[in-house]
Amino acid sequence: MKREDIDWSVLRGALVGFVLSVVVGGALAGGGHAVMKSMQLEFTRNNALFQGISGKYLAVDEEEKQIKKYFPRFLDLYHGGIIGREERLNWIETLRDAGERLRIPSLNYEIRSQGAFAPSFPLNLGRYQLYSSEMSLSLQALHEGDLLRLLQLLDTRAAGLYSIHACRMNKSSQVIDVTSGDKGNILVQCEMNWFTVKLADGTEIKVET
Amino acid sequence: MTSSLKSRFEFSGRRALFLSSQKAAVYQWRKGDLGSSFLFDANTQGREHFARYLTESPNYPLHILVDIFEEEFRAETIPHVFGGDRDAIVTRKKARLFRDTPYFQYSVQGRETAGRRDDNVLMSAITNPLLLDPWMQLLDDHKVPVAGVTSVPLFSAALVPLLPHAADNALLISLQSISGLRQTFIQKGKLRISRLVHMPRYGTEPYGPHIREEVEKIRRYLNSLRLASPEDPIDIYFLLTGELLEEVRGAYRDSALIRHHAVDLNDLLRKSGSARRVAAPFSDPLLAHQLLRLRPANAYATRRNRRYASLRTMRHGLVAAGCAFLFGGMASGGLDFITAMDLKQRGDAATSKTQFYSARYEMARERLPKTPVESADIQLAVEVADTLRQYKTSPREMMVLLGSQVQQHPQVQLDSVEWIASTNPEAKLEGGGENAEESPPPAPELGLTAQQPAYRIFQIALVKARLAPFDGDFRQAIVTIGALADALRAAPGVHNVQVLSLPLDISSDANLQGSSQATKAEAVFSMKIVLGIGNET
Repeated sequence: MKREDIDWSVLRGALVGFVLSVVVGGALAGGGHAVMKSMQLEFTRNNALFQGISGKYLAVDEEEKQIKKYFPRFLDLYHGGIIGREERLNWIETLRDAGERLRIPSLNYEIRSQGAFAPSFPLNLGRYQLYSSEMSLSLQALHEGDLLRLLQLLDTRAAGLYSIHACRMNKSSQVIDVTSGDKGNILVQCEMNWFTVKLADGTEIKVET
Repeated sequence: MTSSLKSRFEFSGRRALFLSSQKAAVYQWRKGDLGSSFLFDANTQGREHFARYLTESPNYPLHILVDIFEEEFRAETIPHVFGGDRDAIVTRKKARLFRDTPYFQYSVQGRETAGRRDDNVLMSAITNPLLLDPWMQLLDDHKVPVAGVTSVPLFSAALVPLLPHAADNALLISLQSISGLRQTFIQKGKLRISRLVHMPRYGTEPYGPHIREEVEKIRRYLNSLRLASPEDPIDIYFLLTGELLEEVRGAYRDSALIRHHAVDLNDLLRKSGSARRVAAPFSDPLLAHQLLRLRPANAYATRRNRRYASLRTMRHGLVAAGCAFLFGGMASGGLDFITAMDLKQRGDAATSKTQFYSARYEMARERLPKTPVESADIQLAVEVADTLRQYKTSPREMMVLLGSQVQQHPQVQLDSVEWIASTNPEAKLEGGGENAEESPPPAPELGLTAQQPAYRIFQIALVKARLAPFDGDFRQAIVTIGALADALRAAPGVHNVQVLSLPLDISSDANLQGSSQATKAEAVFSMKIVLGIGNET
């Protein structure tokens, strides 16, 4: 049909009706779909909560076993300064005490501020974040055994978990003189990390005593 | 050239306009049969009445049937071509044969049996368009959807199936009240000849003699065309009723070439499904009924004539599409809404169950000790600490290894040890280990690396030492250093031992000078030791 043959008065009503039908039909379809999607989202959320809590409820016995098995060790780690707050005062006191006890002529340390630590080995941290305080340790030792005994004392008495990643030992003189108690023969310099495990979201771990 | 497909767009009413040069009759279709009818004169006054009728009646589609003297038929042959080529040929033929009329149609009736087997085409036209134009203009002015225009000769073939017995050569004789006596010869369903004769006013003169005279004329004409044979005679059907039918019945004698049949119009009406009965011998109601029942394809109406029918089809299409969208949207939206309600109920049920299990869980938790974090996190924290302990490093192992080996080689005096821990056995040391390749080159035979198992972590030490006392015997010194390296390599956990420098550089790449009397006081050397911790194989 040619354009000039079209009498729009015949088609106008039908065209308007068609457009309205498309709009209304589209709105109904779109609205229905939107409502359905919204309900689907709500259902998914509610169902996930239900699945979670029902799973927890069913696993409460397992949870009890888990707590019985791991909570004592968790408490040890907490009180040992590995989980929660770090125990800098304890480290300092331990180092001073060790220096006196081992009669190390000179023992110097420097602890830098704590920061997040990314280990080079695989470690599943879950909700936790690993933090580290770097410490530089410098001592004048009579002989190599002083360093080993110092580390042993740190292992047994210091609150926290450390790891030494670098050391340098230089002999001060050609002849080792172990009789002179106030002069070291070996200069030892070590770099170490004191590790602390905390919740990643910053929530403080508090154990009720 | 206005042939088009049969239109079936009407959803409800329809009507027929039966038009001759003197009269016009309108028949309305009602519940599958003819309804009321109206008769108009074919003049200005009649058309005014017709216009009033159009104004006051529903705007149903209109099928037009014409029965006029000014309809001409021409049998032609055209090449057997299709599409645009055929249109071009037909257009040329039409321009030559029917120049001044838009009301033209053609139909292909077969093909020649010889030669290039051209198509046999029957072309026809209403040669006086002024007969039809005023009516068509009136219909267009009133926006009447004209479904099509056809003529009694063209439409007569539709009556053949109603006849009592099939005939290949059928001559239909019918009277139309508004036009006259129509004689149409149909051969094997195809229109061959049609002739219209004016008749006196009904009731003023007996029709029997008129019919006999006209039938005789056409019979002679058909005989001259030699269309009949004893094997294939001509059957003449008189479509009449009442006294005239009785008069015709028995008035003609059959021969070998001609057979006569008097057919009652009321029988044909009954057969066509109409409840209407006629007393007068006119075929108008039968033709109108068949026309509205069969709604034949348009023959003569132009595209312009039929535009309101096309617009009506478009309007119906739009309405149907709109309804489809609306109902589709309602159905889709409704289904989604039902699904949403179902999801809502299930979501609410999940919430109720969550509350129920939460309460039960809290009750169950009350018997457990209070923990600062969840039980899974307690286990995880312990595992993290265990892992950290596994990877905890100190130079203890390296110092123990060096101490034991130095004890076994008392000539070796350690000057310095640079130590690091790393998961990478190739990690570089700050104090020069990384320059191992640039330092005095290692003796190749002493730098062999043993195949070692996989370790969790490595301790790497750069050891600088000397041989004391040293008597200047470099050969013996190299042997001693080699023995030390071998002993270290053989120790448990040692991943690699590499002698980095010897007291004397004996490689071919180095310059070497000295004196046979002079003795060197020192025999300094260095080596790199890689110790694996935590065998994981």
